[in-house]
Amino acid sequence: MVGFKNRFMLMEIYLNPDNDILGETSPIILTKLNIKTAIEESIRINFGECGLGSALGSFDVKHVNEITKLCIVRSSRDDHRQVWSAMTLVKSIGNYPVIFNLLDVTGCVRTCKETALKCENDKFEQCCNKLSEVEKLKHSNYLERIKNFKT
Amino acid sequence: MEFFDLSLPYTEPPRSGGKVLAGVKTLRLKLATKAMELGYVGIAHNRSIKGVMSDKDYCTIPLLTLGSLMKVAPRLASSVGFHRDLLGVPRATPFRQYTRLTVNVDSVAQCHCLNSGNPVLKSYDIVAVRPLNQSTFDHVCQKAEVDVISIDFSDETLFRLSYPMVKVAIQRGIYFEIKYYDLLKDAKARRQVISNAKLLVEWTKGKNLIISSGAPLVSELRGPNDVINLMFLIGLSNERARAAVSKNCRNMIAKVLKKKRFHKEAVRVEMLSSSEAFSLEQPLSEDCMKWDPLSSGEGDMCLDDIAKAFDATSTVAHKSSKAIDFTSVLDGLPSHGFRVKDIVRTEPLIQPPAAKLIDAPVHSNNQVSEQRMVDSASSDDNLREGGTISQTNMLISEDVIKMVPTTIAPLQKCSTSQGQGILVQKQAAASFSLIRCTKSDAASDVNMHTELDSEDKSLSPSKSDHEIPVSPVEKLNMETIVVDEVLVDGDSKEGAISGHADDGNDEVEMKIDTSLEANHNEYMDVTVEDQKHETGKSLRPESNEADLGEGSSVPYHNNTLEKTMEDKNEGETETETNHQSHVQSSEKNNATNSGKALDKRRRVRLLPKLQPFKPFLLQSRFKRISKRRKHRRAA
Repeated sequence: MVGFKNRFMLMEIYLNPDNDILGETSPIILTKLNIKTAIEESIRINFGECGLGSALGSFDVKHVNEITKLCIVRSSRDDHRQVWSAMTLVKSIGNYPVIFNLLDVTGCVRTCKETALKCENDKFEQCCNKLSEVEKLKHSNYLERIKNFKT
Repeated sequence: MEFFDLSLPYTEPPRSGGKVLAGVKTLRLKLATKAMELGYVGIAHNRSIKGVMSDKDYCTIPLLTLGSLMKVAPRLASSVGFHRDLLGVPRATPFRQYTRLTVNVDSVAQCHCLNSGNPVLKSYDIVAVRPLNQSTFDHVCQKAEVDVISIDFSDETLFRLSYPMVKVAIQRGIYFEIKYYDLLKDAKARRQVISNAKLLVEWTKGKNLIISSGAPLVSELRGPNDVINLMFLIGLSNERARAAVSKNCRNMIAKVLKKKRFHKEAVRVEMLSSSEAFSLEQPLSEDCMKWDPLSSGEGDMCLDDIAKAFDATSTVAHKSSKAIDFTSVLDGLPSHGFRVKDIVRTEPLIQPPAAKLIDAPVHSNNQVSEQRMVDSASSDDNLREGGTISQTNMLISEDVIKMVPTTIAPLQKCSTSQGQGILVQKQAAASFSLIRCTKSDAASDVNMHTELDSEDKSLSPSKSDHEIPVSPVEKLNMETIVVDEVLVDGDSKEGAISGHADDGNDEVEMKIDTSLEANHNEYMDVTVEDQKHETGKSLRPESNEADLGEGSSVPYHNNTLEKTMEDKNEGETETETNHQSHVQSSEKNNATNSGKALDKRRRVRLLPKLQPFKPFLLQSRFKRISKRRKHRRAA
């Protein structure tokens, strides 16, 4: 029995969707930091300081892959719908228009890892033709990180 | 679960200026592509008009082709497949497009053109209306012939929604639409939307509510999961929001297309050129989407699936053409007009739903006569017996006809639970006339069952019970045991034996009769108090059932009987098999293995089975009780 319950949300980010339908180019580099700030800002706007305060306890961006543009966001189970809707309401990171799209919600790390790896592979297959060797190496590093990923 | 986004804006291209036109077109393409990529399986191109309707407003929306989508996004297929897998939508699901007109009305005069005869409205798949003030909202809810009422909740000067009007609109089958684009716009609009839409959500309770995007830009589109979660902000629970994005939209589209494309929502006549081979796979009407088959050259596996796809209109046509199978109906029509037997033959088709509703009483009425029919059918093999048994059938059927009014009338009275003394007398009278029929019954049945039982060894104990003379009380106990055994057998050996289980029950019924006769004198001793007591206790639930069942069971009963009298030889076996299968299925449904359930079931089955012979049952019960009392006194 676990005392504290988390939810792991596997999100997909579309950068600049108005011009670039399938997100082939990456004009900005996604990092844990800029995603986190954008989401926190959205929580603060939509749910106020109290909402942000309650969400912050467990809220974290656990993984970002800038090549496939997937990220894993962790939140406590009680607040995860708030965090999720805040993410839906995010319209831009920095000044760049983005769309957050949820792929999966899981309750434990193991299943989260499995789905994340599967989605990473699928997404990578979609865009692997255009990638350079360096990027492919980076991607495999990210995969390794997911495999070793603990809470 | 399929997700729909029924409001993607479509702006009428300006008459001049090729460049602007191209820009608008690419925007529409992009929106559709993104919606498809996010996992939606249906979109509606929404054209919004204001003011007076004119001929210009006929539907001129060109539906997008797969080729143009592929041009915008070459890797679309794999991405779509990826998202559909995650959402649990089958990859082969076709992507559907509809046309939609939204009329902004700000005066009641404008509302009047929203009638069913308007040819402009007919040219669109979906007709939505956006009322701009109180009076138009009321009018639209009450009278306008529209499919969707779309309210702009971000409007600051929004009128007051009134519950009665919303209720009226829901009763008329009009859907309300919430656009989530308003939520995404900015903080102020969001506030407005949440406060206004909450009321509507509360009133509709998620029923007749659809959620769509209304997004003018690609960056305002969201995935289905996100939309469902976003509705959490306006107080819509997860399941209801999911229904609002998928199921409600689906129902609405099905309804609308049926209304638009079918005469009386049922019939559709199409011109087909004789050269064309007719198949339902091909799109039927000219306004269907036609995917460009050439574009699949770039492609992927998914593309092949999509290319094969046909749009919703053809699927709807498919469904409805199956729902009414005209060929079979026409074949079934007799050349010489209707006769009773024809009606009877179609009876089993109509009967099952009724039987589901009223279960017990219908069975009780049917199975008795049915059983005879089965018996006679099985005896067709041995021709010697065939004649005599058919005669008994005649007798029984006549008796039952007599019996029907007598039994049911008292039952009705019984439900009122007044004047029970008279009631019991009546039933007793009815029972006397019945004894005769069941006697002859019993005689024939003994013969029959010896045959049937020889096939089925598991029933042999019941047979032996029947032959060995036992004291009445013991016999009653034995009956229950026998029923249990039969039931268990029916459970363990499915199919053929469940048919025999009926026979077993039938036997039980007989036994009650015989035991009754044996103890007729004892029965007469039962005091009136006892009777009152007993009727008060046991009859009420039964009588309720009988009341419920009466409406359909009685006419049906008569029909079958007429049939047995009229044409005994023709087509009996067919209907019998129908009946039989129905009985079997119902028995299987009832069958569970737990002990308690068994007990309960026994009661439930025994009672309805014996319903036509209810007086006997009652008597046996009185007797049982009086016996018990005697025992107690003796002790």
